[in-house]
Amino acid sequence: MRANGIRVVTSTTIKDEATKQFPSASNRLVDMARPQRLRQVRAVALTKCTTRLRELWSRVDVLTLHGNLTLVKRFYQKLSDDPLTKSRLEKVRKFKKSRSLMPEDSDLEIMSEAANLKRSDNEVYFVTKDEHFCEFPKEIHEEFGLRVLPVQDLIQFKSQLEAVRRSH
Amino acid sequence: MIVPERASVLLFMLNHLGEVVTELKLQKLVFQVQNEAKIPGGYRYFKHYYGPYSQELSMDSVTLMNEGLIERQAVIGRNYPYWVFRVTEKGKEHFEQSVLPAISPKSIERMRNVLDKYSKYSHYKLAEIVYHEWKIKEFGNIDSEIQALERDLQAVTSFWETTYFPECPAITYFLAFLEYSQEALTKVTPTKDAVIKSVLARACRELTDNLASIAQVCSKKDVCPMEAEKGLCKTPDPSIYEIFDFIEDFCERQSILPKLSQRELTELMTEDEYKRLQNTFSTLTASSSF
Repeated sequence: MRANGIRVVTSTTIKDEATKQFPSASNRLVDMARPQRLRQVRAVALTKCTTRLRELWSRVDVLTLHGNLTLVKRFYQKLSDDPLTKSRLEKVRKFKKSRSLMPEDSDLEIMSEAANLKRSDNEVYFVTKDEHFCEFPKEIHEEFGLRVLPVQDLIQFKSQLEAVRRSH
Repeated sequence: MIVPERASVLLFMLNHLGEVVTELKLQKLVFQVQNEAKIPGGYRYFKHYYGPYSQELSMDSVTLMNEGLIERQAVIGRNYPYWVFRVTEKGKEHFEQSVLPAISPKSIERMRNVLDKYSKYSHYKLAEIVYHEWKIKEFGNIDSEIQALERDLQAVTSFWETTYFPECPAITYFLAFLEYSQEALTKVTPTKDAVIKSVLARACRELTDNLASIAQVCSKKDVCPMEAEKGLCKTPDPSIYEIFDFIEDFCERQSILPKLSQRELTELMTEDEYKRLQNTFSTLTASSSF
């Protein structure tokens, strides 16, 4: 699947993770709004999210990628050994309210899959909002050749891309 | 091979029709065949005053599946999942050799006539016909029945509220079905049409009973009827959804309530509630960068 000439892909791990987590996210958001018909609103919101998610999966290529987890683990270990990067990992840990400095296993898996994809592609933009990735774009690029693209920068990235296209 | 004798009606039906779409229709068709074709040795549960649903039939369909005589396929529908039942080649063979010879030609003719009469209806229509007929046979005071049903709905809702956890889509839907049913029953109470009340009450009773049955399984730790993994439903049992599908379709046709599956959030929420929901979304977006 291509959008603006760019191939958009995701992995089965991301798909599974999203499928597992979206009911909880949707329900929690609805609960915060405290509607009177809480249960029906939860269900309608969940149905809408399911439909949107299905649409999304139909618009991207879902690949089964096999990454090398050890490489990514080693990379984050290196970051935690260096006092400069360790302080940034600490900041991420506090923000995520997690116990460990290391990303969760599923996040390590996702990163390793993206790294694997980079091996066979020219340029890979890794779209994410995860702080473990967004905090270390330079280091990730140096180590794996991936360009971390925070979700909030996606629209700007698209505009820039279109401007480049027009100039050519 | 262990095949209950009473399952001959089920095998006959699937052989005659090829396939039956939805468990709701399967249940109601067997009910009609047993009653109208006067087939002896049927499912006892039909005598229960709640209405025509048989857990024994549901259990037998699983036995026949396990024996490879029939197959049941879960289909993702437009709004909800549903079951499709079919007879297998092995089932056809077993039927021809062991079941058919034991049924009298008169019974066969009667069963065929009943099936030809009712199989043409959708599960919505057939369920409505059956609920209606059942009402005429058994019911006196529908309003007191609705009051009792509302209390039971409340009790089942309370159970599911205590079991609820946001990761579980099935419980999210169950609670919505219960809330919708309660709203529908409240709306239908002033209506003078006993048939509409009765059909709705029957369907809501069936939904309540099914949710109460599942509750017994769900309340046991580490056991999930929905084949859940780590508490998350992978394939929710479509039979619950089929009954609710009927309820919301009936409510829409009778102008009681619009279908839940087709309602917009703005219809279900007040302006203030909707604004709060929008705010929670924008808060989420803002917190994504730290």
